[in-house]
Amino acid sequence: MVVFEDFEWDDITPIDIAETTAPLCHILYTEEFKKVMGYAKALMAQKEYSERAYFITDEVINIASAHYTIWKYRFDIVVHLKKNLVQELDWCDNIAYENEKNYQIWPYRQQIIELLEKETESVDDLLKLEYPLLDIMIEQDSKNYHVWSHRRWLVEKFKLYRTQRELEFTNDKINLDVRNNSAWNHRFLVQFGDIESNSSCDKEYLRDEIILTKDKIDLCPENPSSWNYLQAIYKKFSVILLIEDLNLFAIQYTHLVENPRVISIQALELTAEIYQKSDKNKSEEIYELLSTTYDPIRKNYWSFCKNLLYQN
Amino acid sequence: MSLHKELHRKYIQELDSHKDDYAYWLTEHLRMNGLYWGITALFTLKYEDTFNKEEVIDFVLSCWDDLHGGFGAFPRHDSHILSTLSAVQILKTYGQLDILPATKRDKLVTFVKGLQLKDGSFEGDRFGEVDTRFVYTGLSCLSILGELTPEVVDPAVEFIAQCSNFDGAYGMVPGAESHAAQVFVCVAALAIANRLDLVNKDMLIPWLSERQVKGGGLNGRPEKLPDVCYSWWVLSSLSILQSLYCIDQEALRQFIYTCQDAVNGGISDRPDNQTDVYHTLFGIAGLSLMGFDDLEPIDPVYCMPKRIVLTIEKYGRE
Repeated sequence: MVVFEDFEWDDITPIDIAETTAPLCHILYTEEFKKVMGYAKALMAQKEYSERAYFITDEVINIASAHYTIWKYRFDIVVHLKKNLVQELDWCDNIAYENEKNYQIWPYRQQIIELLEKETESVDDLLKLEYPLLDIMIEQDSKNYHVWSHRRWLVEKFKLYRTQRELEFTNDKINLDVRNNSAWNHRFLVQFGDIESNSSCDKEYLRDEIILTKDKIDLCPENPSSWNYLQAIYKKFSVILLIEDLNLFAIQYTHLVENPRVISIQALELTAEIYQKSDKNKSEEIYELLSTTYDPIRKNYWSFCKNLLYQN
Repeated sequence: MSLHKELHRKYIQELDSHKDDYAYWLTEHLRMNGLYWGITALFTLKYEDTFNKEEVIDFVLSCWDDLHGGFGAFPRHDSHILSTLSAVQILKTYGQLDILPATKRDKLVTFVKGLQLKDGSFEGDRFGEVDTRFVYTGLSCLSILGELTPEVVDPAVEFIAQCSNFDGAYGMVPGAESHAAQVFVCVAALAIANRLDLVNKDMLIPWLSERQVKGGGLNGRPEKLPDVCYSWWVLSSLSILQSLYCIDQEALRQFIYTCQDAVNGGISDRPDNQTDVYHTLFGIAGLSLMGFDDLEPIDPVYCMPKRIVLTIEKYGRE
């Protein structure tokens, strides 16, 4: 393990970071922090791209990973010193594990990947470096916005639409927690992210996906994510799917059928929406029910919807 | 329950004297933002004179990055779009925008405009992080300075339109999961650009309304826990879309109250958690938007006092 004392520092004066004229923003620093930041700023100021600078960026990031300037500096050093990019990604893994909510890691990682792409023959080899990290972090926090976002970036960059791995991954996460909105969102990207709206799609393929979604809805009929997903499919492929089919499905989770298994707010809302033009009375009745019984916290919104029915 | 105004004033005032607060020195990169949050909270509470105006302005100016133009989060930090906006907001709130000489002003504008990419999005700094937050930040900053032009606005609007998701809400970049904070920055950016016509109101308003959970608090995405900061992100979005009625305001009010520290002041994300100035601002701002507690009205687009925002020239309007 490399330590501070492995380098020479006599030739450089650390910048005194505690110096500021305004008493408004005094900060208490530890000696350690002062030393590390002081040298980092001094090195940055003279644009030094050396091993000791590389070392210092690691020290800073370990203390203050959201210090955005230091990431740019590290990247420049990595390029200058022609650092091993796979090892750099390894290093990045560790920082990510320690700082789950950090924003800066991910664009940095993406920049390293873009460099690495130029020297790698196989995209698969590259992706092999990504999956372990993403899998572990999602396991720790299944809705980590940054990690899902990075995964989205990979799908778009390497055109991983409808690949087995991505589909299985979203499937796993949805099976683990059907209410995981991030997983549903990712699935929509993986399945349909590269398809234009109002275009066509293999009917069998769509049908299978719709069946899968309906199964998940049936598991948990009050889950907004699965209903949103289903509606999104119908919207995107409105040229080949019929809204009547959606209606027939949704209505089963409302009071409009005999002995519904469960009454679902999402189903009620969807049904009311579908009936807005064709059967205003039904819509009104549903909005009234939502307002008084099933979703009173949004009663103002349901009243508004009701009133809208009779406006032109 | 009520809003402990005086306690919150004291809490904000004492933020800098936390000499034994370990976490405090880690947040150097947030200092300018923190100052903006604290000041805006104080103004909303009608305690404008709590901080010494000269000291505030001095600090802001000491964060000027003359090499790149713009403001950093702390002296000697590289400028960043987030700290630049906060600095400009602070100066504007104190009526001191003119303290920037023309040369600095021009450099600032050049810096912000220089962060815009071909697709209309903005980077946070030359480092390259892209996020719809930065589009809002860039537009808001230029708007306050009266420097918006079609060359900036049109591509930005294009980019935001692409971040609209299948549920009508917005994510961090195109295809990213819809998230209330990203909804705010996109809707507010479109409001600044005078392009609210692009918002899918029929889908977005219900999506926002559904952020309210049974306890009255608001969450950021489906099936997540409520957090006081969404009292701003969700509420301001609804306010901009003139749909505040979609939220049970009394229930939200009570939720915000329970997130206060009734002993030391400050507001946290959830009841009984650690308070911070960020959640303190957004809890208070949420109450102001709803018209409770005799607070200074706050503007939902700029998150600054409404009377200050009135003096900002609005783009695209006569």
